[in-house]
Amino acid sequence: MKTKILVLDDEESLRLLLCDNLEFEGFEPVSASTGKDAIEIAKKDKMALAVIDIGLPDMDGWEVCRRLREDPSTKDMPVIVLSGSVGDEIHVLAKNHGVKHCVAKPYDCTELVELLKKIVAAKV
Amino acid sequence: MSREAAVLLVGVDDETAEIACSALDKRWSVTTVKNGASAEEAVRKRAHTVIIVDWDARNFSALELVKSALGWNRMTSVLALVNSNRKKDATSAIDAGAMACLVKPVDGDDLASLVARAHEKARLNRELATATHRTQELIDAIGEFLASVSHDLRTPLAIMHGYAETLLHYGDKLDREKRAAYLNYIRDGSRKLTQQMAEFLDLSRKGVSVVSPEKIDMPRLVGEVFRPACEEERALQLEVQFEPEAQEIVTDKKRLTHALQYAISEALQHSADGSKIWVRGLRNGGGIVIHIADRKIDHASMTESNSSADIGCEEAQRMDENQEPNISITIARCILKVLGGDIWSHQNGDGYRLTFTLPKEYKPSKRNHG
Repeated sequence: MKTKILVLDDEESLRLLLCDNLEFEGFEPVSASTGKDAIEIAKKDKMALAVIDIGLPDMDGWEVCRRLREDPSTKDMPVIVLSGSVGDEIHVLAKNHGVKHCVAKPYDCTELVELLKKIVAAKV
Repeated sequence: MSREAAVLLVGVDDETAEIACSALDKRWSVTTVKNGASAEEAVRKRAHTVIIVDWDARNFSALELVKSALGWNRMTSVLALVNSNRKKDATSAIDAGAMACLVKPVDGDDLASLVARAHEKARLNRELATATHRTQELIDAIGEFLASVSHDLRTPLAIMHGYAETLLHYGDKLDREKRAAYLNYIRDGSRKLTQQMAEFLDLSRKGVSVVSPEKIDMPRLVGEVFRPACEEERALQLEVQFEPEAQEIVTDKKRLTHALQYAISEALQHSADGSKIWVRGLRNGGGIVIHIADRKIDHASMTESNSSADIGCEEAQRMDENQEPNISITIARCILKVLGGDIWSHQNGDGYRLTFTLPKEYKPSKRNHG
């Protein structure tokens, strides 16, 4: 059974790109374009990890993280946050939302997938 | 030169005070006090551009007064009056920060010339402080703009970089159709970059053009700008509602139109096809405030929780601080600030909202023309 990864990005082309890369590496990506959809998917189906973009149409990525942390079924799910900038402020926000990994855009897909593999492996 | 510019004589003897008053009184407002404590009291009541202190005064320390005076107001210049046989006094006065020393008995013309120079120095210092403040504001604005530009360039760059990289790594796993789709994404990314560069150039041209205020019917202009974008391009419903007092303003129509175009293009990014956009215009103190939202804007809730002079602006400003930089909002903000307004965006569980302000009547400021 393939490891499921939740990919949340409102930019369709970036979402498809990451999903394709994950498929090539043997994962099962599950994609969402809004925070609301992502939270519903994560609660219904167990995900090994979530990749969350900060800029979303309905709520920001931090709000998604907060809601995931509140729910017992998703509170321990590792999260990688994708952000336009990764300065001190972002790291503080990440820490406050229980996020250990922030990746700046434009990211290197290969490196992102490698990071994701390490996190999933460490969890297993 | 205005007589409002003030000169304070501290601890000078009667003869010197008479010479000084006679030389200075016609051009400047002169006050005479006996000691340091009175000097401090006088300075607290009114800013003095020049303080003239007698170094031989016995009832206070002239040296301490010079140090204190420069602490009270950095723009103040101190002139020390010294005896001809005490060069050491002149040295310690200059070391303490006095602008110049005059040897007693003073010559009225020399004193007037020095006071004139001190006032000119104060004027230049004030101009320098204003220019420094404006420069800092400009640096902040450039920083904000660059942050937005950098952020908005990242998405098309990430698309082009990511798909090119994936083509290189997994090209053999991709069928013809998928490869074509990847190349299309790369082409679309480069188009978006080109479009953004055109917007930056457009903004730089607008930044130097002259503001031409005219009377504007806001509901009409908002409708003209928003309806094609909402109803024709995206099948979105538009509801525009302005209070009577917020319907007419005087500003530059062309600039405002551009700002509205950037605002609606950003708002549409957050709205699903077939949904509705609400626009509410309200009177806000000396100006108007306009809310654009993808949820119905409840006027009652806004006025209950905010004073009538702040219909949701403070809240919008506070929430905007948590938003990532955005080029459309930054460009709209640059334009609106020239017109004396501002714009904020925020989103939460209740949806997305843009809030912007404009004065009822555009008034040119020194900054706008500086």
